Amino acid sequence: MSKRIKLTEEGARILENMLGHFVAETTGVYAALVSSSDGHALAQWSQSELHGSKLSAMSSSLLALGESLSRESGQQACQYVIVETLDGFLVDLRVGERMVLTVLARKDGSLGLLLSACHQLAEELSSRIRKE
Amino acid sequence: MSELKFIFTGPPGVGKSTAIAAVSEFAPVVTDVLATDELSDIKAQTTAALDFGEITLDDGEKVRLYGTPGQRRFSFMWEILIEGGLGLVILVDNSRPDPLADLDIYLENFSGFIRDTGAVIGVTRMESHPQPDLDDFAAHLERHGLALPVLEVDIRRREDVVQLLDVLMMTCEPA
Ligand SMILES: Nc1nc2c(ncn2[C@@H]2O[C@H](COP(=O)(O)OP(=O)(O)O)[C@@H](O)[C@H]2O)c(=O)[nH]1
Ligand SMILES: [Mg+2]
Repeated sequence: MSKRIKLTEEGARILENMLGHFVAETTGVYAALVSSSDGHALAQWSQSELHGSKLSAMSSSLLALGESLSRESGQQACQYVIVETLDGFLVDLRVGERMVLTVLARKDGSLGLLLSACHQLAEELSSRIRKE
Repeated sequence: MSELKFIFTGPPGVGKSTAIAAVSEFAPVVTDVLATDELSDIKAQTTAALDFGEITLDDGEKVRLYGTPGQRRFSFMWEILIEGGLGLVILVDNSRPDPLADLDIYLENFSGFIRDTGAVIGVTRMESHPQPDLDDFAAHLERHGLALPVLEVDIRRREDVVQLLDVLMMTCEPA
């Protein structure tokens, strides 16, 4: 079994469409990216200019650190790494074992709603990818 | 009290995480994630953020050891990790297609840090891949105007990693 992730053009388009719907429908969200666990950009949807490949590598590092910190602290599996800024939120979470979802949002909505929307999208992406 | 901090870098799979685990007094902090590119044919996991371990020298001084991710896409971590560092260990895997070109990547990207501190080069897997040999490495460094120590190492062996650190300490010691 190959451990490689290689999206077909069709696969990437499906992911981008899902991200696009999510951005359009979720309060405050202006960008969403899917990356591989080891930091390669796979798909993104953004309302503004973003350096996708940099954000993918950084998200992979940050989530790996969050998971490492959770383990070190003796807490259960890390669910989200959340960065709160003056402008908004950056959220990183796993999509299955081999992918990462990054969501960028302004501070329009509540963080709780944002996280639950991110969680649901990650599940949808994960089951969609398993079907591919 | 002066704090000693050394950084391990080099290409993916060379053994940065293994080296730190071989000498650290506690189970090192690891941030390995599943590899999904060509590296996954050789190795299931890769370091996405850092490795961290600690070793106490004979004189009681603690040395903090940080490993970097190897891939250039994680170079923003390189910048973060060298902060406050006193020396660099560059590991080179002699079984890769072009070890000297690999070395150049790290010499180039860490050039300022190497100039300000010191560096030592550890060449791995030489028993199965003897070329380029240590003289070739020395000649290559000389062409870059650098005189850095180059050692053959098996970083799975604690003594070899300790030796790298000893040589690095001597290199970094202010005259
Ligand atoms: N056969 C052999 N394996 C080695 C040697 N040096 C390192 N390794 C193996 O190479 C792998 C290096 O992995 P890792 O430490 O994660 O590499 P990193 O990406 O630099 O952190 C480990 O499985 C080591 O056991 C060597 O000299 N000979
Ligand atoms: Mg590593």
